[in-house]
Amino acid sequence: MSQHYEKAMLLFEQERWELALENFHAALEEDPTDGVAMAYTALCLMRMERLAEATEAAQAAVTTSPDKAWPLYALACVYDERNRFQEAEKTIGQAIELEPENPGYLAFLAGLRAHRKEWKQALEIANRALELNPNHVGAAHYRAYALVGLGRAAQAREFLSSALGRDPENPLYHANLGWTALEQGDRETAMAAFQEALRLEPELEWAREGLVEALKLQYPFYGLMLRWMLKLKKYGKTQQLAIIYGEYLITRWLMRLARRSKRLRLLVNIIFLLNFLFTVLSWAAEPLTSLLLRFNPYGRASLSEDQLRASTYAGGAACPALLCGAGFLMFKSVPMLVAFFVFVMALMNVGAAFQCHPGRPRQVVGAAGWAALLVGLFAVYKIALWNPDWTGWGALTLSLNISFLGRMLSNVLSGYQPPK
Amino acid sequence: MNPNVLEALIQALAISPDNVVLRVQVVEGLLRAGRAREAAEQAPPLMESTHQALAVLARAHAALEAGDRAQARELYAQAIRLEPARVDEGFEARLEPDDDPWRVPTIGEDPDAPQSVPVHPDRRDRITLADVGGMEPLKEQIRLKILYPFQQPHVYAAYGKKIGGGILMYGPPGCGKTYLARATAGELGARFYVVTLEEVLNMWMGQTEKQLHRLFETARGNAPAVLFIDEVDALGAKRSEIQSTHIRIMVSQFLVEMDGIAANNEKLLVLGATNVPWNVDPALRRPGRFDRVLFVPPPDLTAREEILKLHARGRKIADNIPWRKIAENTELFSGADLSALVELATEGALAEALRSGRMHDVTPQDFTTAAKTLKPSTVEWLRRAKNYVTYSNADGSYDDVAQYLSQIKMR
Repeated sequence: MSQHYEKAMLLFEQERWELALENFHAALEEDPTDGVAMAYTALCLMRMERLAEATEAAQAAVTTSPDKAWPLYALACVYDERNRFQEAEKTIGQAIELEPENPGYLAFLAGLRAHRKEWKQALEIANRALELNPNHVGAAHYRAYALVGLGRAAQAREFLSSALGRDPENPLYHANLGWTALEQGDRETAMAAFQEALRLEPELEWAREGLVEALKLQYPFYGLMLRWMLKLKKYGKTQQLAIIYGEYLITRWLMRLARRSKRLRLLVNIIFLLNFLFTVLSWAAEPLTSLLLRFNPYGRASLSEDQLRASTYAGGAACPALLCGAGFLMFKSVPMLVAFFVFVMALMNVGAAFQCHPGRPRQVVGAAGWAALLVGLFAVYKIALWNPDWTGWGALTLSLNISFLGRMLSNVLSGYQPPK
Repeated sequence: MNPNVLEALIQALAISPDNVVLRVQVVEGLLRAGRAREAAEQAPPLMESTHQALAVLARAHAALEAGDRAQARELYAQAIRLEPARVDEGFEARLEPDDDPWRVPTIGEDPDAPQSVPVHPDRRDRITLADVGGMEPLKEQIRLKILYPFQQPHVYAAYGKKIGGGILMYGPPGCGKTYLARATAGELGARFYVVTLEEVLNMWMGQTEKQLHRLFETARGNAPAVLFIDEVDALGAKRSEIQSTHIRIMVSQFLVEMDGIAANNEKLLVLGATNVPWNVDPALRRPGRFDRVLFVPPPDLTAREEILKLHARGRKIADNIPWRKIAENTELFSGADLSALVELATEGALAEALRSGRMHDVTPQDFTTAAKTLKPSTVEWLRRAKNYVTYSNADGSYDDVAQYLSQIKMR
C-alpha cells in the first residue's frame, strides 16, 4: 500500500473528504489501474455532493476492476444518493454475486427493499446478513425496521433491546427503538429513545424527525393522525390509492342510503361531518402541529427548516380561516362561510404540498394549491357581491376541484424522490 | 484569479506601466498563481509606492523559489514588518529550514538528535489584539482566559486557580482563529509555534509518539511559547470512532503530552483550533487539558468593516464606498467570505475595464452586485452547531454557541 493510499484511507476515516480525495488521486497517479482507490474517490466526491463526478468515477472504477465487488458497492451508493434506486439495487446485486458473504452489501440491499416497502424480502435479506455477522449494525437496523413494516412491532422492540444490550451507545438502534415505540403509541419511551439517539449523534436526521413526531403527540388529535399516517406509510402506492378509492365508494353508497331513508339522513350527515374533520386533519395536522410546536423553545429548535416553512404557510391559512369562521358564527354571513372553507382547503393544500419532496413534485402540488386559493378568493368576492349569474358558486366548485386534484396528485407524488 | 484575466492584466500593465493599482493586482495574481519569479520582476516599481511590503514579499517568494531560504525569510520578515496583514501561514511553513531549532519537528527526523540553543531572533512580527478589529467580547474572553493567567500566575495561584493546560478555540471556518491565536501570542510576547494539518498528517504516517513528544519538548524548551495546533481534531480525534491503530496511539500520546503540560509547564500554552469541536475526543476536554473553550463567532459589524477595508487596500477602489453599509448587509459572512466579496467586486470592475478599455474604480454598485451572488459560508456550520446545542449540551460545552444562535435568531 503506497503512503498516499494509506494517508487517504486515514483521511477518509476522519471524513476529511477533500484531503482524502487529493491523496487518492496521488495514489492513482502511482497506480492508475487501482479500481478500489478509484471507487474511494467516487465515495469522497459523493460526500462532497459532486454527484455527477462521483457517478463517473464509480463507473470508471467498475470498468477498471470488474472482478471486484467494492467498486460496484461504491457505484450502488452513488446511485442511491442520487435517488436512482433501481440502478442501485441492480448494482448491489452484482456486488453480492461477486461477494455473496458480505453482510454490508446484504444490509444495503435490505435497505433498498425496505425503501420499496417489500418488508418480507427486506427481513429475509437482513436475516441473512445477520447470520454472517450477528453484530452488523446496518443489518440489525433493517431487520427491526422491516419487522415494524410487517406489523411485528413487539418483536422488533425485543430485538432492538437485545441489540442495545450489546451496543448501548448506538444512536441508530435508539432511533429505531423510538420509531417502534411510536408505532405502539408509547410516547414516553419514544421521546427518551430519540433524545438518547440525538445526544449520541445530534446530526441523525431520522431521530430528529422522530423526536418531532413524539413531541407532537402531546396534542390529543395528533395521536390518531400519526397512527393513521404510520399505517399508510407501510402500504405501497397501489394499496394507498385503493384505500382512497374505497373511501370514495363508501361515501357514494352512504349518500344513496341517505336519499332513500329520512331516518338515516341524520346519521349519515354526522358520519360525513366526522369524515370531513378527519380528512381535514389528516392533511393539515402535520403543518398545524408544527405551528403549535413553534411556541415551545425545544420544539422550535427541533423543527427542520422545511417544517418551519410549512408551519408559516399553515399559519397564513389557519388565521384567516379562524377569523372567517368566527365571522360566520357572529354575522351568519354566507361569504364568510365560503371564505372559511376556502382557507381550510388552503390549509389542507399546505399539508399536501409539503408532503411531497422539494423540487418538481412540490412545485406541481403547490401550484395547484395557489390556483385553488386564488379561484376560491375570487368566488368569495363574487358571492359577497351576490352576483346573480352564479359565477361565484361556479368558481367555488372549480376551486374545490382544483384543491381535490392537488391532493390526489400529492398522494401519487409523495413517495417520489426526483433523481439528483 | 482566472488565468485569462491575469494574462489580460499583464498585457494591460505593459501598456500602462505607471498604473500602481494594476501592478498590485498583477503581482498579487502572479503570487497566487505560484509564479514568484515573474511577480518579483513586476514588483520593483512598487518599492516607491505605499505597496512596498508587497514588493518585498514578491522578492521573498522569488528567493525561496531560487532556493535561498535565509534570504527569503529575511525578506518575508521585512514585508510583515511593513504590513502585518501580509502574514501568510502557508508561506511561513515553506520557510522553515531543516536545521531551524525553532521549527516544529516533522516526520523522518532523528528524534534523539540534540537540540541546539535558539539563535534566531523572533522572526515573526508581532500582531496583537489591537490589530483585530471589533470582536470586543471575544477579546475580553481571551484576556480573562488566556492572557491574565499567563501574565499574572501568582494572582490566580492566590485564589487557588490552576493555570496552564490548553485552550480550545472553535467556530466556523474562515473566521480568524489562527489570526487570533497569533495575536494572543503577540500579546504574551511568546514564541509562536504552528502545527499545521499537513504536519499532523505526516505524524499519522511516522513514529507517532516520538514525533509528538519531540514537538512538545521543543516548545517547552523554548518557553515562554504558544503552541498552536490547527485543526486539532485531526490530532485528537474521538477514539470511539477511529479504527486506525496509528491514530488511536497518536491521540493517547497527545493526552499524555497535554497532561505533562498541566503538571510541569507554566510557560507553555497550547492553543487548539477546530471547526468540528464535536469530533474532538472528550478526554481532551478534561481538566488540565483543553479545559477552557473559546467560541470564535463570525466577525461582528466592526470587524467586518475592518476586514473589508483591509482587503480593499491597494486596489483601485472609489472613495465613496459605504463600508459600514456593506458590513451591515454581510451579516454572518466569515473573513474568507468578505475577502471573496472584495475579490469578486474587483473582478467585476476589472472585467468592465477590459471590455470598455477604460479603467475605472470599483464602485459601490460592484460591491452590491458581488454581495448578491455570495452567501455566508458560516450558515451551514451554524446549522450543524444548532443540533449539538439542542441535543448534546448537557455539560454546557456549547453555551456560547447557544447564546450566539439566539442572538442571530437561529434558535
